[in-house]
Amino acid sequence: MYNLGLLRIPVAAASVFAVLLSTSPHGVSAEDHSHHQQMIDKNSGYSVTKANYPLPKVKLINTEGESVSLDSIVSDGPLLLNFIFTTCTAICPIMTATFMEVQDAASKQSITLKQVSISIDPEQDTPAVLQGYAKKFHARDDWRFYTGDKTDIIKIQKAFKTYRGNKMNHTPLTLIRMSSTAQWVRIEGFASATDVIDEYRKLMTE
Amino acid sequence: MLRLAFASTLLLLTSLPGYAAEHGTVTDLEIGQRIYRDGILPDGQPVQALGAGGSILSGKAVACMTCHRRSGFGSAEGRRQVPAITGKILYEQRTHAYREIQGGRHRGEGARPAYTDSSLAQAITQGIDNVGRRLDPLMPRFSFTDSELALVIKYLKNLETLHAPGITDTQIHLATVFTPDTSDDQKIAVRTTLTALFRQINAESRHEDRRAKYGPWSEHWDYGSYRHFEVHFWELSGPSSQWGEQLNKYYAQQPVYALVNGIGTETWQPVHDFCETNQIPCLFPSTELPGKSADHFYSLYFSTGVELEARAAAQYLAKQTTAEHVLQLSRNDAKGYRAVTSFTHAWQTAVPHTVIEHRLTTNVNLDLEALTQLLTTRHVDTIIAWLPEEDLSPLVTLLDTTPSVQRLMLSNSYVKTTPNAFTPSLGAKTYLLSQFIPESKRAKHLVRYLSWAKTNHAETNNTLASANAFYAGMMTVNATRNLRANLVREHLIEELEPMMDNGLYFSVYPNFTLGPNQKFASKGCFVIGPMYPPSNEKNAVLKTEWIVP
Repeated sequence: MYNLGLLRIPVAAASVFAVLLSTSPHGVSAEDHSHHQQMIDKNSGYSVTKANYPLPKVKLINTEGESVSLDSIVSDGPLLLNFIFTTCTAICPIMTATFMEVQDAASKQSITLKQVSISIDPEQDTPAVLQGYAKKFHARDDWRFYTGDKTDIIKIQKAFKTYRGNKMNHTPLTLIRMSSTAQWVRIEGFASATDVIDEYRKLMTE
Repeated sequence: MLRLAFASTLLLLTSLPGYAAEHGTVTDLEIGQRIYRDGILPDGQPVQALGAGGSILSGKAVACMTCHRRSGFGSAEGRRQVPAITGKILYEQRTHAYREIQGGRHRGEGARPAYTDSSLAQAITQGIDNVGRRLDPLMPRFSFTDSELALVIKYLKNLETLHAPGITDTQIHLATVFTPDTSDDQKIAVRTTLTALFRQINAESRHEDRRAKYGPWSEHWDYGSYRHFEVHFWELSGPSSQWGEQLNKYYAQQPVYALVNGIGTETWQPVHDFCETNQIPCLFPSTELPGKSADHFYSLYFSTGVELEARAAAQYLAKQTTAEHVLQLSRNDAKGYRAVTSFTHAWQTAVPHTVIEHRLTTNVNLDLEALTQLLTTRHVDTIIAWLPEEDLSPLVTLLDTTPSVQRLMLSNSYVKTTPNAFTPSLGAKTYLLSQFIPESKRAKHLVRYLSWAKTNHAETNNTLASANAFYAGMMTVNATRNLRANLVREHLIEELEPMMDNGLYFSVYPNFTLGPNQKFASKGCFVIGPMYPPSNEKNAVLKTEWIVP
């Protein structure tokens, strides 16, 4: 079975996670506890935690087919990162629609935000396929899509503790980092564009 | 603008306006299908809905089929279960919650009474099920008029609920097709493998019907669909234009649930067309020339075949600074044509490179004089030879002595390795395109197949054909078993997609992956070479590069 080392909050079941929190924090390891600051929004279906993730020294491939190091992709902030694949039917269309709305909201509110979407189906999602996907969701210059070597993409998912073996087992995850020295903020679940922007604003004022 | 009516109270689903009349010959079910599959309303506008996190979704992204799939049997992503929405299932009471069956960490439908038209309408538009629970946030809340809603519900009620042809109370019939160009050793390999495999599977599962009959409900659920597999071998003859008719005849005599493996070296298009037209799953035939069609759904292939090699060659050469003027040599047949056109298209899409296509007349040796003339008048730095050994051997001297030619690429769908006639100097500039694991590493990869073949006395002279047949047979059996009682063909295809990534065996391909609506499981190709490494690296392992075009 899965041991995600994370809190799982059922949507619209405030009472359930109240119980979870007060009694047994199901699946949260001691190690995670020491690093994470738990912040839970009781009215929505997502959880927010903070952590540092040591990232592997690997290269990804952008939609132009150029090789780019992961370090340089995540070097500046503020940065928003998610994992998707283009033939995904249930979770990714929503994740990607949210990124599209964040892009629009950010530009309207004059927020500078880099957005990164990494494919977890790299052999299907070639640079050309990702280019088409980016176009379909009106991605502009600040929102980049990446594919890469299958084993490198697995390393990245493992580093962010989101590798589930089979791409069909993936769960919705959004990561925010304000700068290369800051901690990653991990949003598990479906946060709306407004929620994401709110999380970003909270971080700005910290 | 978004047409949302979330505050709407119960919708009245009484008599429908006469859509069939208004839309000429288009039936309600066809209109319903367009809403279900494409997210297009009767007036041509995209369907609109409110998604999780408040995002506004429209059109295909929010079409029912996107998540609930073509079959209506739903899907699973992460721990989320997208429930089945066929009429039969919705209008039946659900006695057990999904997590009772799958374990507590899984999300899915709870127990519920049977839906009615009005409670179903409420679920679709407001995201509330028929006992007042909120549906998973993944389920969008749709904005439909009463008449649109009625069309959707009518379509759901009509989704396939009967057993497909080829299924009887006790048997599942399958067929394996051989096109006339299949060699005897290929046929023997496939027949031996599939016959032994289904004999073994049938023997292992012979008590399952008793378990279903006398066990508790969960055992009925697990084993109630037990049936014997029976495989039929269909041999085609004559030109490919006649195969469709022959297939129809075979099918009329013995309906089958699916085609499993099969071999065709010339073309697979007529078999592909037969399967797509009759809505029959065609699972992993061994072919270098998979069929193509606009609404390709029922045929799953190991790879795009020789086209994959061609596109990989283009991607590989685009990175080489010394590759600009490419000459392609091929026979004048369907496979040669597909290889050459696929390469030319890929090679010229990126950069307007030079490419010369030079074809042999079928089964007649290359006109050496014409080729010599061509190589003296045109500058060629790279040659891709889509040719078998007998065509290559006479070219050795010419290729070896033309100084401008820096690179020769051969295809593993024509040759296994460099022909014996090759000189070391020609071998030193020869590369091999291969979709398969290099020979030296295959044994480890095929360990499951090889040990199975040994213990089941099913070893053959053609490991490649047998390993492919074994893989196709195992996947067909496992996917069919996973469907339990829901032996719907569309569902079989959908079931196979997520199974591929977790497979324990790969045949001779390095790895397989499929996802929703992906039809080709292996997506990359090795470029191996140079085939004769420099003498000081004699014992060196050949260099391989994995290209995903």
